Amino acid sequence: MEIHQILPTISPCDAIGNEAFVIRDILRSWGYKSEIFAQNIHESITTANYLSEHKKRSSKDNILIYHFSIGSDVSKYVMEVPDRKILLYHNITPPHFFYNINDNLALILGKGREELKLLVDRIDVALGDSEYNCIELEEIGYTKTGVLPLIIDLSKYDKYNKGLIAKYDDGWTNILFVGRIAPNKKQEDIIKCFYYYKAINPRSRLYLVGGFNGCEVYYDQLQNLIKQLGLKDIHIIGMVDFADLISYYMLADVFLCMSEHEGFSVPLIESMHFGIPIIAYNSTAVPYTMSGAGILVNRKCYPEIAEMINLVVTDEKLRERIIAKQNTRLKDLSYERTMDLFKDQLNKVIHKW
Amino acid sequence: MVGITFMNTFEINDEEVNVEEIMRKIRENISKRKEQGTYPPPLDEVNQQLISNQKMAIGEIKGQIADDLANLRINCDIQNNSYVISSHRPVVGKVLIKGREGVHGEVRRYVDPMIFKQITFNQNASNVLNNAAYRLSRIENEIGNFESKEANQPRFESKSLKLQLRETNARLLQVEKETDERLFDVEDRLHALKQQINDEIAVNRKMYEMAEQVRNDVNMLLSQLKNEIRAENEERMRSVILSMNDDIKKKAWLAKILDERNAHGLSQTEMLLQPPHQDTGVNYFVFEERFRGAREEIAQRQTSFLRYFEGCKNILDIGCGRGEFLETMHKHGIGARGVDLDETMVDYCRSKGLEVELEDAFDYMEKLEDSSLDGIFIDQVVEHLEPSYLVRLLKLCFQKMKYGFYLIAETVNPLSFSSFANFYIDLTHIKPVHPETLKFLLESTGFREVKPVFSSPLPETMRLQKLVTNEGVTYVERQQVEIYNRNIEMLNATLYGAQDYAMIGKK
Repeated sequence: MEIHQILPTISPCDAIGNEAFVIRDILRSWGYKSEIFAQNIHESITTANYLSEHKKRSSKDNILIYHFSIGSDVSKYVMEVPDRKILLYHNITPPHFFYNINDNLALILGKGREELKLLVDRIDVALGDSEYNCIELEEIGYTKTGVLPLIIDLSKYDKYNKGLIAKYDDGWTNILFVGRIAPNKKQEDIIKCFYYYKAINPRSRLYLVGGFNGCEVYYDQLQNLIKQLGLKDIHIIGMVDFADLISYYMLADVFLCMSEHEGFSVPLIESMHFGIPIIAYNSTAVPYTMSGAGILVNRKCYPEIAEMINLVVTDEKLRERIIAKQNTRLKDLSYERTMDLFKDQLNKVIHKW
Repeated sequence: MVGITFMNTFEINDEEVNVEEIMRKIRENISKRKEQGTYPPPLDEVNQQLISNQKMAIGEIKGQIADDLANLRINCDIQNNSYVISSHRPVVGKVLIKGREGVHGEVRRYVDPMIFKQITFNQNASNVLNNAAYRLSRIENEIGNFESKEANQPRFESKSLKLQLRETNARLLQVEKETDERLFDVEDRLHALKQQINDEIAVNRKMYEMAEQVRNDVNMLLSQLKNEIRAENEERMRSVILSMNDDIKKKAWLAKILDERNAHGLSQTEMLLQPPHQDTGVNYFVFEERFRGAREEIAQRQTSFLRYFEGCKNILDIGCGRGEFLETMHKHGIGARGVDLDETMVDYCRSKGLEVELEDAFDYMEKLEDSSLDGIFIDQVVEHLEPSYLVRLLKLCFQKMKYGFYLIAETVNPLSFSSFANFYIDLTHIKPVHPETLKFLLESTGFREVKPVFSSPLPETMRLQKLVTNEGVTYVERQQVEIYNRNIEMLNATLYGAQDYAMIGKK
């Protein structure tokens, strides 16, 4: 029996791609023949195979793991092959967020939702990489479901950019959000919160870290908003390398998330790891990822959120309590623990047949 | 919370963090900053571009259809803005871009008019649909209003429905605003109320604890008191039973002796003729029972001496007899002891719990420290003494008394014929002592302010009676009656005067 993985696109610094490699290595260590197949492969990746090559390896005795996060022709292919199938659902952002910002993306996101519905009868087991995703799968109609936890190896977060730290370590209050510049992430709401907070604490700045590839229209809208509000000290940084990302986490005093759609949100876990108190809008997977830690926002009342940022920054006791609770949550998500769970679940699913 | 729960803006799942307290602080800060003008102008006032909030509210339409209509408007423009011609290939990239641009230009020549027409169509279709939906919803609202008005209110024909709706909306907005403000106010009050209730609960708890403490204390004291009373009662009972036993024993003994004497045919007079010595003291007990009078009467008479012994602690009653004086003193909290030669008397006194010694008064006093007594009482004793003994006794009394305290010696009054006549009824009486004699003896011993006090007058029935004049008697007759009555008074004073007198002296 061979166990292969299939996905539309594989590129470096991509959470899904990384996970595919982790799964392949585990499967190989268990003695299975295991390869990754993708429709689009970034030129820097040499150990993945093009989708067309899978045909030769396809068999009803084999298992195919399909990483699903967007609509593509891969779904059609998966439906046709005789392999037993595991769907690994990484969530799909609802398309309406991207109307008039990236219609192509809206289109394929919409297609993805449709494909997910069509796949219900063709998939043997559907796994979500978070509890929230698992719930979505069940709502769509999948019956055999489970959670294959997301693996984050925080021990690798050790390089940082000294220059960046030196530049901004000046006693100012730094508010951070990490995530693609995308309309579902609601960076405009972060800016609106900052609009009030800046008035409370003029010695403060906002970092929005994350690529805006494909959402240039949204990026322009954010810049316009900043201009209209006459705000200073907002740094829309774009895509950064790993060391810079870590440096921004190290500089941050508060992590502010106003996102209205998250499948899991790794930056929340990263913030916990760097001891940054989190204020996050209570939506989609966010409460599951926070699991009782941090501060959840139920209403987007910008002055109140600004005051809460101020309290978290100035009230040492509150800050300590929030961080302590986050640290407790972090223990549940340790690399060893999640890896064990991950292997258990994978093992359980594979040996169901 | 009392029945109502407000959804807070924030959620912190930590028992040690009081979110309500934090919300209160946040609201306080907001109103403080609003007052201080710290905040920038509200976001609504900043003419901001509607960015990703794609859904527009359309009239009164709510729910899924509102979302659909909004999306319809948003998606009217089918222009693909996100299409960019680029290439990451370093060498052939430029050529590729040129090629793509060529194709793109050619395609656009064909496609653009179609897109234009499509967009126009979309916009028209969207407008028509939106308009239709809006009108439909308005009609529905009007029908709804009409129906509810039909049902509940008189119709206002003069106002158009539209105007009413607008006014209602404005009012609703106003109400909403006021409700918000009031909710904040209510929330604050609830907080205060909660605090107050907590305080009251704490006070009540404290009071309850105090009441509980008091109850315990009272119970403890009660049981203590009960025990004490029981112990005291038992003690009293024991002493009463003891004294009753004693009394019964003595009375039995007395009865036995009297019976024996009666059996021996001795008359009462013969009984009294027995020489008075210690062994035959019983004579005197019987004698006193018969001739001296009831103890109660004597005790009553002796209370008139109380004022001389007020506050004293160490009085000696010489010849205390049945202890009437000692008992009276004890009753008034005055310390007094007695000495008597008669064993029966002494036993009797002791059975009553009185402090009495069986000894000769002279011998007894000699053993006392000088100036130690703060009072001496000698009742019906001096007439029993030899003059020389009396003189020595008085001297000794003076020696043993503290300065400034009183000696009282009571005896038979020989100035009254009736008492003098009865003097020798008591065979142990040696001689009556004239008041002047006793006064002299006291004074010569050293006592000061010596004075006699006469007591125990005979009842009127035992005295000579005066005449009473009626109305209508003549002057002479009245004069004679008065003379007669004066004579009677003089005779009464001589014959039937005070039975006893007490000589009082102060050291």
